[in-house]
Amino acid sequence: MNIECIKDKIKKALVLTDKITAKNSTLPVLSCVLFCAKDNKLKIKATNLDIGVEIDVPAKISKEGVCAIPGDVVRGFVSNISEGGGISFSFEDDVVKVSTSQNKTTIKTLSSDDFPSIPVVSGEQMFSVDSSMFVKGLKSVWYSASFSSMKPELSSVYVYPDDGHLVFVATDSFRLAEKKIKTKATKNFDSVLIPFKNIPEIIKVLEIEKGEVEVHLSENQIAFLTNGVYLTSRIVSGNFPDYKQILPKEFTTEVIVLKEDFSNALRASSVFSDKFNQANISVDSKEKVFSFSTKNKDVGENTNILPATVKGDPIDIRFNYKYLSDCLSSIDSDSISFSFNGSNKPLIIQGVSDRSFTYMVMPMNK
Amino acid sequence: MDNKQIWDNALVEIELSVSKANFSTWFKDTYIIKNEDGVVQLAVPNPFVKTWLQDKYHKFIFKSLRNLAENVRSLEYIVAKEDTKKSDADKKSKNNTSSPAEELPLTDLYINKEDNLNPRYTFDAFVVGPFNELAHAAAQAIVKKPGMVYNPLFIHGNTGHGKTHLIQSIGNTIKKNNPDKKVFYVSSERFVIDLVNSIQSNKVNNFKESYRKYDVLIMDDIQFIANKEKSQEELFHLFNTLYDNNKQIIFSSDKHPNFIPNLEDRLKSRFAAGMIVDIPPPDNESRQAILKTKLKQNDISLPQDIIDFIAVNIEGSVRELEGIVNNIVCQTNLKNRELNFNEIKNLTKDNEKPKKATSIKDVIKIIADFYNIEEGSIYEKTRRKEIVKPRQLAMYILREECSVSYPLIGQKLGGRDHTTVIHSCEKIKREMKSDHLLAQEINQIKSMIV
Repeated sequence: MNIECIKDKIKKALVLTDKITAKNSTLPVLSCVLFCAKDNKLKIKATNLDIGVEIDVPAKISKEGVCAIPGDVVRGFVSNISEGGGISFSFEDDVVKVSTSQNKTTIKTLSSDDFPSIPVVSGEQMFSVDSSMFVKGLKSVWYSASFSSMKPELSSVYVYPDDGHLVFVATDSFRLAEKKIKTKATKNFDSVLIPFKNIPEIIKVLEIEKGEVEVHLSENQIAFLTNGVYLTSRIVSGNFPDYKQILPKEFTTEVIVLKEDFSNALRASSVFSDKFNQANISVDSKEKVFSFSTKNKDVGENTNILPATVKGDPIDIRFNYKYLSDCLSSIDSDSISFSFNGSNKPLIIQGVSDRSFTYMVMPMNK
Repeated sequence: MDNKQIWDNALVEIELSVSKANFSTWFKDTYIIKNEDGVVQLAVPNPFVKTWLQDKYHKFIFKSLRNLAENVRSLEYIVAKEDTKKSDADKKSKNNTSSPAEELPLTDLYINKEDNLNPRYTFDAFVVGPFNELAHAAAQAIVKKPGMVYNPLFIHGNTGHGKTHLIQSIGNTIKKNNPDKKVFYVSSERFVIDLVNSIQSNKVNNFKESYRKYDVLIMDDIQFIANKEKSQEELFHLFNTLYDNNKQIIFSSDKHPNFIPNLEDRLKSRFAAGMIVDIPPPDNESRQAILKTKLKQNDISLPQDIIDFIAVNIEGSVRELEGIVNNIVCQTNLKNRELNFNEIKNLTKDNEKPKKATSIKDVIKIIADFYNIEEGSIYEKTRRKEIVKPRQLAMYILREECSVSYPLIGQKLGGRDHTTVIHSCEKIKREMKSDHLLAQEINQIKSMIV
């Protein structure tokens, strides 16, 4: 194999693919990225048997061939070359020689025979969506998924089409995040559960390629196809819980505060939180007061009183403040609304001007 | 050799000729799902493995299998559903969410919103025994030719005998075989509520239209439509429309249509037009079969004598058997070992039917109400025909169901001689054999006495 390409382009591809290689697998070749030079195209592939990626890199190919190079080595090396310009790879016997105008390197390779093929998803179910919107949907909810693998459907992000929107949902059964993204009609798929462990990789890959992404679905796999990048991930089989029925429709107390104020209050009070991360919210409708307090008997206590508009009954309720702060980055508008339904019912948080994101969180017991 | 042995032997051969790394990566968690007519289905954990085995090891695996079982002709790879058991190890792993926050009351999305069918109910999970084979055969015939044979199908039987399971299975199977057929499952209560709502909002026509578009309409617990005249009228029209267009209609009820009180005659006769099947209580052998199936679903095995014991002691509904199985599963998991005979005895203790402790007076009242006569007249010394029959029946039931002694029955029912009571019981017993209607009536009365 003999190829030559632009260093920055291959660096970008290597950073992405190396993330996906399996570091501690029983199959050593999985820690490699595969260079595949064929038909005047260079494809770089990597997989950990859970997720697989193929990236096309523009290159001049003088001799076709395949070689598996340890991912961390080649990424570590290429990303630390300061000079720009071209870089060439030539593969002979079991080593690959990498050279730039100022640099000559030899890297040992592994046998590429054992490198698995990346499954091609050939389902009829497909739709296309703007990649930045898709990423936004995933980013808005995925932190709410469950870390435990007891219930695979909860350690996933649930995506389904609903009346001109794509809806993204994740929950760990203590809080739930839902984000609606406007898309063109995507009627031809029911729903999909993407394992949340694979979400960071999917986000990274889709973030780099702007524009439309084609999403293909089959029974066990989902694949994303954008300009020169193919990424496929396992999907979770199972049924996501029927969360809509627990979204409350009416509220007894509604509060609107500035997001900035609330986020500052959270940060200040987090210093005084106890080991359960408990934070107390109390709303007094007569005095129009929204106060946020934390208490730790070893450290001290703190109360923030925020300017707010208050409607409805007074309430005194406790939350895990981490759950509250998690959702703030997903809310775009300047003010946020809190809707309560009594002290043991879930709280709904939404942006005031943008209702496409809904966050539901359960209170803590005393 | 069973599938597991074949595959284990094949794996030994494969392990010898591939590297250890390759073997543990690609052959871990594989097993044979099915080996039928020479087609072997091999379960693999994920699509990567599927593609790789197909591309790289297919010939090799095939040859190894062929050496062990000569009838193997082809080999398919199927991505198996995730095994949740393997995540047991993660239980111990740190759980960030161990805060005292309450959980959201999430429930599974079990029921398909469009047709109301619960996918859990299938024929595969339906145990066929002598008691329900007729109903099952009728169901199978309908699945093959919906709307053409046995239209309507009317299934009746006491609670917990598997009516809902059977009719939902029909719906699910028809849906599977003909995806374009519109199947709809509705309880009669839902039907009534829909009708009332549509009347309230002046949308009766929408209601009519919405029910008329179905190819298969399944209506559960139709007995609740008794006393609801408007609903019966709507059902009558709906029935006619569907029936005329050869759409399949299926009903279930806890009574024979003739015994549903206050049901219009025109509906009764229409229900009887197709096929009426009764599902009686499961017999002992069927109860054993059901128990074994349920235990197998839960991966638990019990010795035959315990299964015998449960089958003998838990009479009646399948639901109770399910309850016992769930109880055993739960206890087994808790104790992490198999339960012994005494523990199971203890578990079943609470499920045994309580001895009927109804007072004689209550029984008389039920019977008097059933025949629409004055309660007092049963105690009187009258020989009017409409009184004599209920009185004799009362004696019979008190004797058979409540084990009251002959002299006591005589004494309580207006100071009669115990020989009179014996005569009455014998007479009823005799007549029951020839008079089908009487037997039905007695069964109904018995079911009212708890």
